[in-house]
Amino acid sequence: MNSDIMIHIEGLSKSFGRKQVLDGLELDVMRGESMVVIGGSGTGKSVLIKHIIGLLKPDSGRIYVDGHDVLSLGEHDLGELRKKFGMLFQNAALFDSFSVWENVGFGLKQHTRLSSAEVRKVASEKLRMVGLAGIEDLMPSELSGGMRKRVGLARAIAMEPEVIFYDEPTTGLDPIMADVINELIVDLRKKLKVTSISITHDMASAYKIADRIAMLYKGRIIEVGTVDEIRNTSNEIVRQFITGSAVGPITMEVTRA
Amino acid sequence: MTSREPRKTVTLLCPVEYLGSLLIPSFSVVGGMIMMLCFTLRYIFTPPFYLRNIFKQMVEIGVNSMPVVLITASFTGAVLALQSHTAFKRFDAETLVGTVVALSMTRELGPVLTGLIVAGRAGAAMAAELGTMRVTEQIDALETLATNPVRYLVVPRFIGGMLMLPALTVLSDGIGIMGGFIVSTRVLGANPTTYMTRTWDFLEMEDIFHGLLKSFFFGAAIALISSYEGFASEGGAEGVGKATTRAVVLSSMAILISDYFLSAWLFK
Amino acid sequence: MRGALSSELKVGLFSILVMVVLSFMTFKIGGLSLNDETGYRLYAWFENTAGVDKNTKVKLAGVDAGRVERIELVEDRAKITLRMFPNVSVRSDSGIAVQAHGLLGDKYLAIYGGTPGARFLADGDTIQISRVPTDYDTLITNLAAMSANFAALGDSLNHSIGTEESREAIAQTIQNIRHITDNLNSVITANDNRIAQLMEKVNTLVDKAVSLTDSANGMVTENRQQVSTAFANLSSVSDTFRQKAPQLLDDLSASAAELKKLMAELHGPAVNTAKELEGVAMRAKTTLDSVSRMTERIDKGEGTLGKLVNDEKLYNSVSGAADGIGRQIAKIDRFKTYVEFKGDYMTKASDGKGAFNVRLQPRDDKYYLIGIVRDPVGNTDTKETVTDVGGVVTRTTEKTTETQIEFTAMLARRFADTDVRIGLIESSFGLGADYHASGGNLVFSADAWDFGKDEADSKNPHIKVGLEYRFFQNLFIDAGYDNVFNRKTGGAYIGGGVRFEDEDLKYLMGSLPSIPGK
Repeated sequence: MNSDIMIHIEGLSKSFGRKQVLDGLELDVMRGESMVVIGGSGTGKSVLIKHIIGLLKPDSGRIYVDGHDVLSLGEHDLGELRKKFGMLFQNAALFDSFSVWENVGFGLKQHTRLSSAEVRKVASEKLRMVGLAGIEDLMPSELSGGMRKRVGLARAIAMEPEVIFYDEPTTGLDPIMADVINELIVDLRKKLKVTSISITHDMASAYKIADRIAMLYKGRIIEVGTVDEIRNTSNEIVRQFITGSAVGPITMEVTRA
Repeated sequence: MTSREPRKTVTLLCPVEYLGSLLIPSFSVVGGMIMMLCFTLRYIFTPPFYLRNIFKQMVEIGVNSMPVVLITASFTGAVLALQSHTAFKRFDAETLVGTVVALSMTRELGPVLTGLIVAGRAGAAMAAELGTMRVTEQIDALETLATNPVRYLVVPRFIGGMLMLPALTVLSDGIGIMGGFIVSTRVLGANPTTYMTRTWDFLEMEDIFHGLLKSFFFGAAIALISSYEGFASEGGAEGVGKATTRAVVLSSMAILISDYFLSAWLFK
Repeated sequence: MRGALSSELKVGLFSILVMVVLSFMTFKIGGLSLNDETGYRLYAWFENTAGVDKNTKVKLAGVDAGRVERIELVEDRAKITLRMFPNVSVRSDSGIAVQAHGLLGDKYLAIYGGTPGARFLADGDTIQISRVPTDYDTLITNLAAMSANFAALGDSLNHSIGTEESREAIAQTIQNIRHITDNLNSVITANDNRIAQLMEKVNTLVDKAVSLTDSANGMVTENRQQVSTAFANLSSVSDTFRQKAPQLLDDLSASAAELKKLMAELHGPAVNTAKELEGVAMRAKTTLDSVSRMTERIDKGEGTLGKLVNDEKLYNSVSGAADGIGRQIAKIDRFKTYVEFKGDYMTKASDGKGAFNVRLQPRDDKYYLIGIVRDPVGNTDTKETVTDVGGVVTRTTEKTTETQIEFTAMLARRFADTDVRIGLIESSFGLGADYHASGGNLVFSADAWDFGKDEADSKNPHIKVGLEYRFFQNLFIDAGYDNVFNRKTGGAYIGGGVRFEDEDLKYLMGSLPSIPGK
């Protein structure tokens, strides 16, 4: 297998009840590349990421991460693999019962022999990297949406992962805060040299952080290309999506009274 | 949803289909719980162990439930004494009130009432907490941080429930007997020595241990059901609310139903 | 986690508390089971060990002395292994029995009957004597048989009292009593001055009675032999009584039948009496008419009374008296009324003697006894018949002694356990005393009357001694010796009767005139 391919997905299918969400999806993500998966709401972008991390089991298909077949891994090996991952959740998914530094240092605390003081030091460092200093002892409930996202980002990078997943990193933020997050993502990639997979439907964000963009439509990746390739695509579906037009081949299921 | 339209023709089978649609979720719930139980039992004996979480859950389930359990138990003992006194007075057997209170508390009311209270208090809290963690993706976050959520969240609750329910039941038994004692001697004028003699004479260690064994199972059931409901909740705040309600209802039912079978098995 | 106490500390404190409670209960309950292997073993054989389990207590002199360790069936008997406490010593001649804490209580094994001096049993010995426990099934069977007997008794009683016929008889009797009281009332009103005279006579009579008692004293001294014989008889009667106690139910049943018969007999004479009393009532009415004429005159202020009525002082005293009457009426509420039917079999006369008594008890220490007696030994009546047949005058003197209806009217006072009665006994002046023993269920009575020796064949006053035993609230049996000092008519009697308390007849008495109208 090509060692430049960090993530290789073939024939991935998944349905929930009667609803076919992924239908023979194929995707390769290169090492060190920033891949952005775009697609409409509810098309299965999050489902794709959860499959790669091993949170969901597919109905059929294979997923290789850094050469390992994710689906065949046992609990222990999957745990080891996950230590190479970091993930920023849509709503940050901070642990309510822990303070900010405990959240950031959670992985370190669990998987390293560092003392609390050392964990706290590392956590502070990561928080500084996302532009948050001096909030270590606050509780998640005391933070604003943007701050939560950044704390989530700090937590995602705390274990110095090889792959970072961003689930809608800019959703629910004002444009300026969204751009701050985008800058952070780009900045982190430069500093940490990580592979990243982002899912979003915010095209501004996609253009900014992506090396390549993949369009997910009806359970398949219908187009993969660099930012420029996507911008100039001849595919009508992609075109409709990136221009944000209601008229086109993508029909929304809108009930009219 | 459009695919449903042609099904309307098979009206005859509709009730049967409806029955199936009722049963399948129940099966999946039971199956899910059994799966979770299997994982939990395996994780209890394999590292890593989250001792801090276990202690935290022991405080939450045991220590923090103590006041309400003790108040309930003391009044249960008191009302048992009052009622059985009324009944026994009719055939001059008042001296047996102590025996009745002690036996009822240790064999039945201690374990069951403690179980119901913990189900209502700690079980609801578990389901709500885990449910919130589920809908805000905190459980997924745990996984991405290479931490098994069942191991990290469910096992401590399970252990806490299994250890703390019997402990609370011991206290409940003791306080219930004291409640009965106080009412009998102070209000109903029973002889304290006779009362205590009758209590300890007729009570067997077996009664207490079987009660504790029952509460051990109740604790496990509450933790398992509440955790499962929390883990399985979906659909935001409303889903968490439903999960919490279901956790309490199912835990209470499980306690009362298993109580019968455990009693039949233990006290046969 | 951020509180003053860490989770670990809280759980630790909690665990200590739980352990304290658990070990306390364990100690209290199972203190004995922990040292199971101490002490020594004894064995016992039983034919029935129902209710005995492993760990059942063994008690010696009521004190815990050990536990049952093992129960096994060897052939057709149960072999019980006892684990005795080391400091408990059991004598070799002790017995062992299955006992229970009351009818509902737990079973335990009681070791009993060891005698001082016998050697102590050692480990491995067998207790030789074992007693089969009381079988509650047998007990219940016996109880059932007993209650069947009682039911039969109830039936026969019901048969004698509960029939329409006897109910009518009772109703008739009560009707008659009402007439009697009405008439009595009229008679008494009409015969005010005569009563005064009567009282004077009674006074004289009491004087006589005093002297009579003196002479009776002498008489008793003289007749000590007779009296002691009488008492010997009495004692033999009570002996027989005691021996025959088991047959009592049968006897009672028979006497109830007797009672029924008596009742029927009583019915006839009572009607006659009522007719006689009607005559009295007619006369009383005439008297009342004249009283009414008198009252008219008084109203007009004629005569002494008329003047008195208009006197202020009289009014005041009358009003005072009215207050007194008011208090009396309040007392009536406290009234207790007893109605008694009784029948005795007189051995000498070979005949029954029936009595119907009403006891009016205004206070606990005082009562009036009014009754009718059918006496087989009547008073002698001398009738002289002069026949003139063709100038031959035949003079026949016929002495008739008839069974007759006599009346009882007595005033009784109670002193401690003794009632002293005075008044009319069988239509003749008499005195009596009752001594109540055994919570009032057993009554010893002595009566003396007929000081005028008017009864047939009587040479001495009529003395009667007896005892009466009450059971079942309303039933009683009595026995004694009647007419002690008159050999011809004297003899033992035995019988029984029914006595209703006011609860039973309140509604009937309620319709009787308790206070005479004005």
